Amino acid sequence: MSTPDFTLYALTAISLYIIGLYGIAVRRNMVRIVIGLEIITASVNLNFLAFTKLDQSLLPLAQYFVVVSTVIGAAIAGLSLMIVIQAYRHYGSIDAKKLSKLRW
Amino acid sequence: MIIEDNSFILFQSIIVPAAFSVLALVLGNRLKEKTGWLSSVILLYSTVLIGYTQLRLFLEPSLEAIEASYSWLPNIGSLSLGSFTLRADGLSTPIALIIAILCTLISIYSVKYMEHEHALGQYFALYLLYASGMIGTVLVTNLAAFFLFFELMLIPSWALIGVWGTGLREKIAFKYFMFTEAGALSLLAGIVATGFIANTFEIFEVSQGMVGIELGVQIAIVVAMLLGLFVKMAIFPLHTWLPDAHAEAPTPISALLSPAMIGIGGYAAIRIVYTGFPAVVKASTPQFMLILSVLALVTMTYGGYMALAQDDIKRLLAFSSISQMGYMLFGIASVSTIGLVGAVLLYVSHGLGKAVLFMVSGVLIHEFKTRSIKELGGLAAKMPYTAIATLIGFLGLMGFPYLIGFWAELYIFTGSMYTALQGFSHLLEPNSIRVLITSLAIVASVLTASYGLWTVRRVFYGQPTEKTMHAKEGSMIMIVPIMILAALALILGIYPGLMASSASTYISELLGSIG
Amino acid sequence: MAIVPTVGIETIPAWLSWLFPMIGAFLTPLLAKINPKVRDYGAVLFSFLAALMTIMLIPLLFSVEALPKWEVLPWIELEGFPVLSKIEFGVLVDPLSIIMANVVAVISFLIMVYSLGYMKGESGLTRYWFFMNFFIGNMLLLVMSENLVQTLFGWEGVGLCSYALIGFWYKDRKEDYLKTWVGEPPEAYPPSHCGMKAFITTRIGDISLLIGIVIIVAFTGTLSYMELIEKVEHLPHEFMWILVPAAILLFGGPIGKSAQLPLMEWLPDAMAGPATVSALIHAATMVKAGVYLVGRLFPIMYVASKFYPEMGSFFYVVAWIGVITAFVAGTQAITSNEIKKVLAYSTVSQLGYMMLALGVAGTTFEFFIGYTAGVFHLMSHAIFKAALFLTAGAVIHAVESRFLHHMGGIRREMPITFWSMTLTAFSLMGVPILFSGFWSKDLVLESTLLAGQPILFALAAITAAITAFYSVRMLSLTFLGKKSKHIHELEHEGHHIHEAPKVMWIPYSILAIATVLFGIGAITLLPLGGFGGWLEHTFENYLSRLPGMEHSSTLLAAELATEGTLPQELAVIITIGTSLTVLAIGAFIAYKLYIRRSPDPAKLVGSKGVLKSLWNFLFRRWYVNAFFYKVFVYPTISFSNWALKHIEIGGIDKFNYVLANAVRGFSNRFRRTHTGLLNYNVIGMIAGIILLLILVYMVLV
Repeated sequence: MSTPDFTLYALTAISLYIIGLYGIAVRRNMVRIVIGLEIITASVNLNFLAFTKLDQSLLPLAQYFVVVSTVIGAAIAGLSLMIVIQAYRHYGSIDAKKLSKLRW
Repeated sequence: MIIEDNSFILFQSIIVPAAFSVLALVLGNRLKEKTGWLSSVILLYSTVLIGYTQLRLFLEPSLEAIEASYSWLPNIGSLSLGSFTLRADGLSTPIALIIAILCTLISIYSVKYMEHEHALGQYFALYLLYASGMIGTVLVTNLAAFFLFFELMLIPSWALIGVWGTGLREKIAFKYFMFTEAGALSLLAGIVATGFIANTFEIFEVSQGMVGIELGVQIAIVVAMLLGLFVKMAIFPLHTWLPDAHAEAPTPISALLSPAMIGIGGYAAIRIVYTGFPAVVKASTPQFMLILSVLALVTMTYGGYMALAQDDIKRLLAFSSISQMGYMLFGIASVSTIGLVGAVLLYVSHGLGKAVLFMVSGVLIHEFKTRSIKELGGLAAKMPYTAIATLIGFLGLMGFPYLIGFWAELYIFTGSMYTALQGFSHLLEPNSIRVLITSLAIVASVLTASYGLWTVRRVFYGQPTEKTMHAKEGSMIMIVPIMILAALALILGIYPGLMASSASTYISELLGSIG
Repeated sequence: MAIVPTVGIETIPAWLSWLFPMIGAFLTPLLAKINPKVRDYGAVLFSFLAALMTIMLIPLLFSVEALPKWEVLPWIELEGFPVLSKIEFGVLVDPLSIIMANVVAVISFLIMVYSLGYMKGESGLTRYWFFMNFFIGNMLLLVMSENLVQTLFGWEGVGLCSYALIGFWYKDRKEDYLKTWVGEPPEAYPPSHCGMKAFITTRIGDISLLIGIVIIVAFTGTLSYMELIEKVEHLPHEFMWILVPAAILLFGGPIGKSAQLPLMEWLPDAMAGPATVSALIHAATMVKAGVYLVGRLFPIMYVASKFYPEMGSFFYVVAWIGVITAFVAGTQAITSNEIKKVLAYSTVSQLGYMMLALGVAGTTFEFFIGYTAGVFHLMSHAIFKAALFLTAGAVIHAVESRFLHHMGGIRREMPITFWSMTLTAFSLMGVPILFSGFWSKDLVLESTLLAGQPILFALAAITAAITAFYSVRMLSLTFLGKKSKHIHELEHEGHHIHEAPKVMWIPYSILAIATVLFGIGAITLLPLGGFGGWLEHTFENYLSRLPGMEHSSTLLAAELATEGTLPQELAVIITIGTSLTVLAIGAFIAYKLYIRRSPDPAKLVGSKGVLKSLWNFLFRRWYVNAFFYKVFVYPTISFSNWALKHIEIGGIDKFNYVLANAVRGFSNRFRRTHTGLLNYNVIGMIAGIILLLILVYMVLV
């Protein structure tokens, strides 16, 4: 079967991961940060499935992990969006730079 | 012959004050300053116990020590902290006795002096903890327990200075705490190193455990520990915490900080260095001990000069304490039985004399609300007891006969000179540097006479100043403890054997075992 | 022949002689509570008991072979001490201590009686009596003590009493300037300052003494006089050199206590105390303690010089310091304006004579001549100087001023005082035959000649001339001539000058008679060689029986013998001739200046020139006093102030704050990493993860 092999999946996952990190680390818009978080979650899920390419017997375990992880990812998304909304209510903006009370 | 302490005498003398501190805290709100009477009764109990021990040691020359040992903590892996050992022998008992007597009497003094202060229940609770810490430090022989009590001395005194002190008290208390803590950490480093290398924390077994260890390592450990102890003793140049702490502490606490606590550093130096590290003493004499002698001489002189320049009477007494600790170190560094006994007697003399002087300064502060010598004068007529007590106090510091200070200084200097001239019996060159240093040290005592007599003159003679126009004698509650201490100094001055004979027996054996 | 301590009843008076006054001192506050009169008479009673005890010891002087009586009790026994393990506490009764004890106790009693009158009406008498009795007790303790530690107790004890009594009028009231202060500007001092000065100056001497004691005990192992005499012969010879600085340091104590150069300046200023104090402490007894100590140490040092000639330098130091002090102090007395100060300088000068005598004694074969001279002059001086001070006190009381220029012409009003002062002043000057001062001073001069020391002799003789001069000056300014303006003012106010009360003049007339009696005794006992000769005989008998002191030569004396000394008869003639000559010269010049008033002394020194600067130099006490203040006192205080500012606060303490500020500065910089910005936190997290991965990679590979 000439399904794409492991390396491709793994690289995709890593690049998604880096994109997601970029989103968290660099972007000031809180919604974009949340999107970045979701991208990271997706990359992690993809990574799990990529490993099944190496060993077919891991598939049930990987599927299990992905399902749980997706559910958790949804919960995280909901929670973080709620935080964004609260922050918007408090600061009047969705700029992450405004949340700097925990400073020196 | 060493006796087991089966009736928990030593243990009680340490724990009883600590335990009853809770009682003082609880009753403090109701009794206010009269809590002082309660705490002095509690401390009197400790005093009687220790006094009984000293009396036994004095009357039975064959009795070397009274020891007690309690199992303490479980082993942590292969490291055992040892047992909680207490030991009352000729070296520790006089010191513990003086601490107990001072704590008892100063507690009575506090009743009057602190009468208008707040939260006195807490004050006396902390006071009892502090006393317990001091007595404990002196009586334990397990290094880990020693460190425990060392810190236990530190924290209540920090609180006492910080809350009930004067001036920039929080800052001064913080400085005091930090400084002493830094020293204590150095001490801890030494203790931990000893524990691991010698495999024991028991001071009497350390010397066995140190056999065969390289001398450089031993000296390093000793120096680390001495650094911590010298901070406590306020030896130059580690002394800068003392003038501020003593001047701004509430006077009863100054009267404990200075006479009782700082000398413990000296006691610990004797105990730890001479008992635990005989190789350091033997191999490095004369160099190491000679350097300590020079350090002592510098401290003596420096303290004296600084005292001359002070207008604040409590700071003057603080610098005087630094100078006296120089004397004690001089005795410790003399490597001779006579000198070490002199150091113990100096602790006694300084304890009694400085407590008298600080309490007198408290009487002056209480009456005239000032610490400045310039604002005082002509007091001898209206305050005769205070004047007599001050004169006795300063005479004791000067080493005047009829007071214990004379014997202390005589022995310290004779000890050092004997070590210096010891060469004679072995047809070696006498250590002329030590002869010179001893002579200079004796000359330095002129400074003590100068600042003492000058202070007496400025405060008590001459014409009264505006502040002192309507002077009257201080309250008897404050004067009686002062006179008791002065009388003790006189009694011991005429018959120092009470404290000295047990000390000399023990110390001569100690030095004899070093060889 | 070893001497061992014994116990016996003959020594009981020795113990009681110092115990009674000490007990009396401590009973004084209690007696005061009963009744002031009980206190006063009680105090005098205790001093009487002391005198009684010492008198009871006199018979022992006549059976010298039974002396010394040495009795000890254990005091401090500290086993384990290599030296000083056993300090004992006892009495040492020998001719020296018997004579000294009697001088002290009897004169003390007379002065206590005088105090009843002199101190009448003063406040603080409880304190006065306490310290007087405590003083007498300590002084007798010092005299009777058998070892150096016990001596130190007595020594410092008398120092404390001296401090307290000089500063008796501690209130330093300016209104009392004429009576209680001392000196004139720029060197006028109040009583409390003088007490402190006395204590600190003698403390310096005591320090030197202490160093000497410490060296001696560390070296020989004992501080007991008798044991030291025995031990000295057996000390290892190679290390005997350490005894020389030890001995000279020991002499430092007497230099302080007996007010020799360079520590003499406290004594003139001690005149701020009451006249009784000046008489007792600063004339008759405490200042003699130094001489006494030298006398006690004499046999030890003498035997040591037998084996080690360099010990002789100890004796030379004593002699030279003595004679130079005598001369310098004598010249200072010439210009003094206060009656008690003249007497104070005179005391210093005469103490120098005693030291001179003891010093030269140590360099000769016949040590007992100089030794006797020192002790005889000590006795003689105690009697006449105490009387002089007591009469001076009576005059000050009457005239209400201490200044000589406020006195004058009161001879008629105070005849008894005048005659007492004159007789005793003659004794001081050394007027021949009838006065003990003549015999004792001549013995001192004679001993210097016999020791082959012409320079010392010459200096001592010149000093004798000076002594005659200032004595006549003092007498004439006080009693003769015209009354001063001050006295006229007093009489105008209604205070007439009258004789002192009986309780005051009886003691000093007794002393005046005593000084004459001793003088007469010197002649009538001529078959025995006079009183001086009898003393010589006693001392020779006693001292030469001490171990090592057999009447043979020291190496030093042997060296000197080759220089040739005079035969005794020639020395006596030269001495008498010289002393008469200098007496005449000094007295005559004083007579011309102060009795005849031609030339007028005020005009002589008033005009510019050599005489004026000389006068100024002497008036300012050879600038020794000013020197001490300028070089030691003020610089020490300024140094400590400077050191406080720059070393303590600016240097060491500053380091604490530098350290604290450094830590605070560092943490100030460092905490800026807490930006609170989410993005930076995340970047930091990523960086940390990368770092960890690299570390893991390095560890695994």
